[in-house]
Amino acid sequence: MSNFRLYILSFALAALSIGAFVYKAFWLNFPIESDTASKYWTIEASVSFSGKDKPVKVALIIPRSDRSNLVMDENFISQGFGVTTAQKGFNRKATWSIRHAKGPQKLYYRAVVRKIDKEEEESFALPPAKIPSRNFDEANDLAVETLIEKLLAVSADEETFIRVLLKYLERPSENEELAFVLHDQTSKRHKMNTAARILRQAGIPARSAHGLLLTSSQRRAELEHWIEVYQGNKWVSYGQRESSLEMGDYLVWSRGEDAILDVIGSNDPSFSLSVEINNERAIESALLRSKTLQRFFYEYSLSNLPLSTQATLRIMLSLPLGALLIVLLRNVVGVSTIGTFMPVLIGIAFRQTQLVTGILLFTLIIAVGLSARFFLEKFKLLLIPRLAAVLVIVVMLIALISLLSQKLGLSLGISIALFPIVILTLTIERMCIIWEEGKPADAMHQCAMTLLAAACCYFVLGDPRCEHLFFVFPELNLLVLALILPLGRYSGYRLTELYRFRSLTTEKKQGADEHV
Amino acid sequence: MSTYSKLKAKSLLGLNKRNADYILRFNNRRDYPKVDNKILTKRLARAFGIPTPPLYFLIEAPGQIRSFAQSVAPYSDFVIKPARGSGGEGILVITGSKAGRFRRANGSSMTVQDLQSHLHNVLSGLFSLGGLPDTAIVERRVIFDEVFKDITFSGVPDIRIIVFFGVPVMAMLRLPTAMSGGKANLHQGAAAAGVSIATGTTLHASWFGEDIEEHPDTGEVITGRQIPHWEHLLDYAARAYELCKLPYLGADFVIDRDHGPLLLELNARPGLQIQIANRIGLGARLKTVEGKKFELAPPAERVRYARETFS
Repeated sequence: MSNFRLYILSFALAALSIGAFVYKAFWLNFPIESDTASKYWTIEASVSFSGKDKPVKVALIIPRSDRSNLVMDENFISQGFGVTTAQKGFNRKATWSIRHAKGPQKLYYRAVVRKIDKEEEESFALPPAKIPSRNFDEANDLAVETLIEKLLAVSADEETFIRVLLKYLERPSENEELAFVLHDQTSKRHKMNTAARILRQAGIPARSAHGLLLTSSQRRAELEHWIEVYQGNKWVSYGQRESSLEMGDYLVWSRGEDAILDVIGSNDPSFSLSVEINNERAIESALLRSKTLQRFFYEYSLSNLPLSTQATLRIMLSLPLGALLIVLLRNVVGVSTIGTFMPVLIGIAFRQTQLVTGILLFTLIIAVGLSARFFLEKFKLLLIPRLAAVLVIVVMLIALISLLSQKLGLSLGISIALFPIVILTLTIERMCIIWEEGKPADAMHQCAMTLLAAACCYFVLGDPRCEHLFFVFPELNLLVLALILPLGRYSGYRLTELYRFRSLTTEKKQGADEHV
Repeated sequence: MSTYSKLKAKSLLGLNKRNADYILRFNNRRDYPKVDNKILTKRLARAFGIPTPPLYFLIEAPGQIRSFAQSVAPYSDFVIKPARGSGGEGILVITGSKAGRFRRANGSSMTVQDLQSHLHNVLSGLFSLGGLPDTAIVERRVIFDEVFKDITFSGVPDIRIIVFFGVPVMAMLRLPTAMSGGKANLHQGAAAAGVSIATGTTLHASWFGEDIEEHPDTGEVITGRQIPHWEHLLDYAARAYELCKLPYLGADFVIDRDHGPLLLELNARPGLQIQIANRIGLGARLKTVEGKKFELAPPAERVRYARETFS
């Protein structure tokens, strides 16, 4: 009886979920597949600082429309600040000002950027701009002149001159003059600013440019830096990170040496950028004809949330599917894992590290943690201090791996910090206990099964199509719920039980079945 | 015939079915503490006339650990177990002490410091369900009846009886092996023999899910052995239902040389390996009992019914 009601509930949930999905996907044209070649992007810059009850002026360079990008739908989100924008040299500048700023302050600049197709590009060609001549001081002048001499000697024309200079800049320590001019500052931004100066000194019209790569959604986007040289009536870019990418994939944020952010009246400003594919714009035309119900779906879409919240929600909304996988693996297949939902968290961490690296890292952390734990065993520590000690070791280990991977040029960086540290610690303790009880094979087996389950989660949750689907259609989680509920009443055998009870299936010698 | 349907035909009970259709359906969570806490079980068992190993003392606070050596001085041998332990984890059997060193049942020896460290682990909940702080029980060591000596490798053999609505439905004898390290835990490699409810003789034996005839270490035949005091064991098992009111229950007994059957612990989620040892599924037997209101009948009648119905 109760089972029947459960099925009714489950069926209703499934119908609701599929209904909402079909309506949104086929009547409202919400995009089923994520379009990575999207024309529309939402960019967001946030500035935070603490006010000291004094006047504050925040100047932030903001992007402007150019031949490859159209900046539209700009929003300046701030409380109590006055905002003005002005063109200054190559750049557009937004200035927020307030008489009294007290406590932590946060300012946002949000805009939708539309990429301009190749055909349209010509109409946005800009007339040659005047180059500000900001030259080197006397001390540097000589070094720069020597450097230019050297470059001229090893280059054939303007283009090779630029390429050789950029090549030198990759390893400035190998060139005495260059190292001197750079003053030991090795940031890419500074290098490109210096390169532009050197080129101008050599009589080549050049400027540095700083911008964002619009190829994937990033919660914490970093500015890229390169130089632009005026050649044959147009600006040509050199030195961008991935030369294979079209310049059209970049959004130029600022040009020249002006600081992106300048805050007067506070001394602890911080600045972050994020980039997100904008799916709403792609379907906006359909919604222009919208009636109230349709408008409801649009206005209550998760894509209207701040970008950093969206990135978190993307991960969160794919968790239920991971939970469903775990239910299947544990109750239908019968795999035993360490910690119920730990494989889901590890699977999500794998998404950042990629599968093989992830498995290696996980194994490494567990192995080192276990050795440390075995070492601590000698001291007979109490449980909680022992767990705390292992936690410290795990944290240090993750910090060390981040550092090493950075040095080796592997971009694992933040990604491994996503490993659930506390759960890892408990895993190590759990494995150690099983191990100590003389069952290292069991410990290894459970660990391997956990990794296997994590890999399954990775393959499903790691698929960008899946993530997109659950983000744009969060109602699909009701379908997941509709599947989980009846599985909660599944009373059939687990796959592993077929093996476990195998001896009962072999037809038996004399007199096996005589008793019941 | 597929494996799945073969198992179904044997009315084998799987974990999902056990959880969904028996434990979750019949066992009331309110009654769990009576079996999860061995101190409570001991107290209740006495009230219901079921003998258990005598309690020496409890260690409830870390402060008591320091004076452990003095507390334990009057006893030459004893057992330390966590009150909320599960699966036999954290149980330490000390068979004797000499010059500050304690000899364990498996032959190794421990210092007072080792014992104290173990007690700290017990109290901090390392072996308890859900890792909650726990109490350590120090009780008399069971000197097991010689009857199974030739089919036991160190440790104590025990008898598990599954009781459904107070009716003993299936039983097995668990025999420690070298691999199980003296523990009667099947996951850890103990051997198991199915026991006839009617007669109390061992029927089949299994080890690691495979059929065996002889004990893997001693080489003696396991099947066809009579369990002593079978009448009493069934009686105590049936009465264990009154004690905790859990319809689906596992009761574990040992047979003491001097005191006969003693209840070691009760289990609200007994495992399913008992089916391998008996070469038959639990499903059909549980169905026979279900819905017949046996819980209203006196224990003696339930035992009589069980012996008539289940071979």
